[in-house]
Amino acid sequence: MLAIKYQCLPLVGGALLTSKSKLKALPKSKTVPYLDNNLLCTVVAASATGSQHIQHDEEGQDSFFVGSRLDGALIAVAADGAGSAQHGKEGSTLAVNALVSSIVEAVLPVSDDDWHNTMLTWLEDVRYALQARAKSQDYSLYDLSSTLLAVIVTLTHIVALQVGDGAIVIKENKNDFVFATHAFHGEYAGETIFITSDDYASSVSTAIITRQEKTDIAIMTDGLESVAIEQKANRVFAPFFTELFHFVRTSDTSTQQKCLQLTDFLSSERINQRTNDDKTLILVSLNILKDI
Amino acid sequence: MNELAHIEFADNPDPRVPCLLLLDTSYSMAGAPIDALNAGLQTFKQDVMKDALARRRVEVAIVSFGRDGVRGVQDFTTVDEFTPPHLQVGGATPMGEAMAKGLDILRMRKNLYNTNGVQYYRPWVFLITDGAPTDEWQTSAHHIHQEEARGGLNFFCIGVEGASMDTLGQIASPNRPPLKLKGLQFNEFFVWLSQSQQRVSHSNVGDQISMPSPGGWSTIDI
Repeated sequence: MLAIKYQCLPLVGGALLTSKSKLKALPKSKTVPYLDNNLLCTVVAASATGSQHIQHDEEGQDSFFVGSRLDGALIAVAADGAGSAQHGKEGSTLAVNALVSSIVEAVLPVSDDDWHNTMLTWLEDVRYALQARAKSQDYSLYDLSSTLLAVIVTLTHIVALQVGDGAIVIKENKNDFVFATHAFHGEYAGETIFITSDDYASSVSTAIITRQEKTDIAIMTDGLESVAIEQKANRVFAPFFTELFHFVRTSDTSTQQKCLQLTDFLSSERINQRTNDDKTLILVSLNILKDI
Repeated sequence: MNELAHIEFADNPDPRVPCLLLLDTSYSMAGAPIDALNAGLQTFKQDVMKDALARRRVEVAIVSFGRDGVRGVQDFTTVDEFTPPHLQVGGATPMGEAMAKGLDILRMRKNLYNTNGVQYYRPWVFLITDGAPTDEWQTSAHHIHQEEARGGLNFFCIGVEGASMDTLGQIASPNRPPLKLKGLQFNEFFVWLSQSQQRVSHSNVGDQISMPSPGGWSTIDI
């Protein structure tokens, strides 16, 4: 078992993992902790509660975590609690915690098949944790419904995992972005599948990519779909990400400052005119391998 | 914040909240009932207009039955472009035909949404009547029940003073009994409808979310 040390704090909305992998919830904090630059990449991330929740004095339902393993592998996870679930926020937080816990304790796979199977096992771990919580709190499993999106970056691989809506996008060629994994959308707006759904397994989407070619990856929950995706064509709207990653790479401020600016952006009037849902965005900009 | 102020956004149409009203304009609605109904439609528009997102997303269509038989009074239009009609009374109560027409225009609207890549929430259909059907209604009612069981719509029946609640009970969906309007409180009903539709337009799930209680305007709670 690898001794795991966390090089950086998880951002607000996630959980603090100790070296014994015991999960504690972070106390509510107004500050946005910054991330030390992981050797492999630069990460800027933020989350903002949607105005639909603020209006009704409710908390947001998104949760996320960004951190590193001791071996330098980057872990980025986001989850969106179902609006119709009684304890959606608790569900998304627990889903993030459980997945991160599995990832940090794992011996990372090598082959593509092993990666896929390992990720499926991690999802079972998450469901187990949710079922256990439901049982102990006398909730239904549905009460903890949440989507789940994750990216892991190692020296050799970029792997992605998605259950539900939102998106994981990756840069292709100079100015284009494509979906790394695929979302599940039902007939109706906002309808999706959750990690708690009985039939989730057929909707799991994974991607295992060899490190060399790709340099920018983003995770977003569904609140940003209407500004980041061309919905009719079901295509990533590249300029949104190109301009954001330009900011990540070139802005002459600290990572902490960038996270604060991103938080302001997600809470801005421009965004709120398009959506009043919760929004979480994790921007992972990989350092070019030859620079390491 | 300056550096992110001009990030380009994708151009997408607003998701829609389709709301279909099947309204009784038969002769018995003359006088106070039709006046209250017309006033209620104005109230509905005014209330939804207060919400910048909802007025672009809630789409209302009206099919009347009574005066001039079954009439497509209003095809689906967003509330910000909706001019409430002034409904007049006359004739019998061809409720069955109205429900069939309602299902047709709903089906056509969904096709239009799909063709144009417009997202939409589960449609709500309201049948408001003060009497009993004077035509064959069993077939259309059955189709509506099937459609609801499939998850294609939410169907609500509202009986105004004088309505045959027994018959309405058979027309209504098995798990959603008809509601009786208190007096002529159309205003209260339409405010409730507006608030409920606003909540749907803000929600991010297709499931029923917590609606304001209809206790204010109906004598039976859902």
